[in-house]
Amino acid sequence: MIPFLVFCSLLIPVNLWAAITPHMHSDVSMRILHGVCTVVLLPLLWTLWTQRRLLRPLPALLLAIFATVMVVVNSWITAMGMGVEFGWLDHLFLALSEVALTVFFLMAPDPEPMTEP
Amino acid sequence: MASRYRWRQQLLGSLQGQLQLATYLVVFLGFTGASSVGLLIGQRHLLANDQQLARQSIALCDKAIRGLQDDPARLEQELLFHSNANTSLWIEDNSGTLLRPRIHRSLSDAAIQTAMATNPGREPGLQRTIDIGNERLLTELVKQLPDGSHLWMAQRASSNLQALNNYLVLMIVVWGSCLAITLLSVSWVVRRVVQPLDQLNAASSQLTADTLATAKLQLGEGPIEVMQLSRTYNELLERLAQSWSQQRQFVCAVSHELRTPLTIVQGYLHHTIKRGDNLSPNQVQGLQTAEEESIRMRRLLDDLLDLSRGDSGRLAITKEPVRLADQLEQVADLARNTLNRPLLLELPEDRTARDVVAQADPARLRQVLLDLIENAEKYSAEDATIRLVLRQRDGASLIDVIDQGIGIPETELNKVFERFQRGSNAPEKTGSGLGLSVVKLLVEGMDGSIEVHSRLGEGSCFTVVLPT
Repeated sequence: MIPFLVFCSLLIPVNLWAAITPHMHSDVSMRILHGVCTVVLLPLLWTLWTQRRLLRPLPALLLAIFATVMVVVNSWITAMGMGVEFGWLDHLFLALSEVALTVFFLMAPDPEPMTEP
Repeated sequence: MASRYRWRQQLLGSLQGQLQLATYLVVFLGFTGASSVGLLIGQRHLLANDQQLARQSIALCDKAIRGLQDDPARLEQELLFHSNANTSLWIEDNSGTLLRPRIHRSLSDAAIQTAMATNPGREPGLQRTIDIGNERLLTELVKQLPDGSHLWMAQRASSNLQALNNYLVLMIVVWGSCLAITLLSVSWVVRRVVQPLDQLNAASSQLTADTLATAKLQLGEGPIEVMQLSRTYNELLERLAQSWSQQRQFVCAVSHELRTPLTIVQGYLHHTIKRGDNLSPNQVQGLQTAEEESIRMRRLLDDLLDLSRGDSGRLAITKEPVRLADQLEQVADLARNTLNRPLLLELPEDRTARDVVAQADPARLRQVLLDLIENAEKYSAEDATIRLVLRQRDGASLIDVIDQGIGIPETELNKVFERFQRGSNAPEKTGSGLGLSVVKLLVEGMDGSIEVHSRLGEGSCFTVVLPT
């Protein structure tokens, strides 16, 4: 899990650089970046679903909606390629989603051990 | 079940994890902030520089084409002269026709149309930045010429930004190296700090009352604070050992001093009950209660004295050949005198096994078995049978004391022979918690061992194993 979080945290500056310099990356590298950022959000969504009873409802719901929107939008961008309007803004949101993902896995409540009835 | 977040406990709960995380955060935030701000400022400066260069070029071009509107050939020649690989100039006449020089790497028609579309009102001096494919262009409607046509300019900014890109790659390499070196350094330093603490933890976990006097923490080297901690720990051990020794001496002395007057009191009580002619039944009952309590207190003092002698290595236990069947018969007879329940003695059918002889102290062995029988009685129903069984296993003689009592919880079985340890399900006011620890002390003093098997609610089986 720690290597996964380190990897996700490294996507934060990469997305910030991509937002600042939208013309400095190629179409392929941009698709890879959006695709990878989309894939790493899936474990977050899965954990939000499996631990929904343990989490505080409102923040968990907001985070789930945000992550779902990011997954949908960035899947579309990955498929469509460069030329999306306000692409820099999407990179900022991706950086934000990576921050949220890292903070969630560091702070989420520990699930209770399963006990036999 | 193991926690799914064990990694988080290791990261956030350990000193090493916390320091590594803090280091990573500092390096990460520092580099992310520095690189992002550096890129942003660098890019803005490059664009500003491009704009300045473009304006200088346009000023020269404007001067050169002045009065050439009627001579398209010369006009195109001048536009070509002031254009280059990065800067493109063109004129849009009133009908929308473009006059543009064709040179190598000149802008595509689509790029020119996009550039003009950013200024639909044809406002002179308005600059726009557009991204075409992988390129960033700085465009401007330079001026409106006297005949109503418009002079446009576009300049590529990407060539300078490539240098910025190279700078970013270099920064990433430097940052990654710094991060790796810093984390490795922190890991080394933290391990150096934590290693003595691990030693301290291991030494503390193995510490018992018996090893207090000899246990010393020997650390080779470490930070000053940790070395100071180890010295303080060793001083604490010395004080504890001294205190423990004094406590044992005190218990031994008190037990010994109290035993003699208590014996006298018990003797007088017994004598008074037997010989007292004019005692009322109530008085006899009161004296009998006093005698029972004095016997109980004397046995408690005996236990304390045995434990104290065992701690100081002065417990006298002789070892001689003992025919176990005889001992068990004696014990059964003695126990039946006080028990109000059946006690079954089960000896082997085989004559050889029945005549088995073990190395033991006969008096101490009887004490052990009587203690176990008394224990079985305490925790069994009133009419439940107690069994005393002699058997053989792997060349050793085993004596089982089996009851049908309340049993011992499985989690407490490993603590049952510890001093002052009583079962969590034991009734109130039953025993001091010393009996089984004395039993273990005496059995081990005879080079034997004791085992216990128990089921909650079904009963317990204590097995004394003696070498033959």
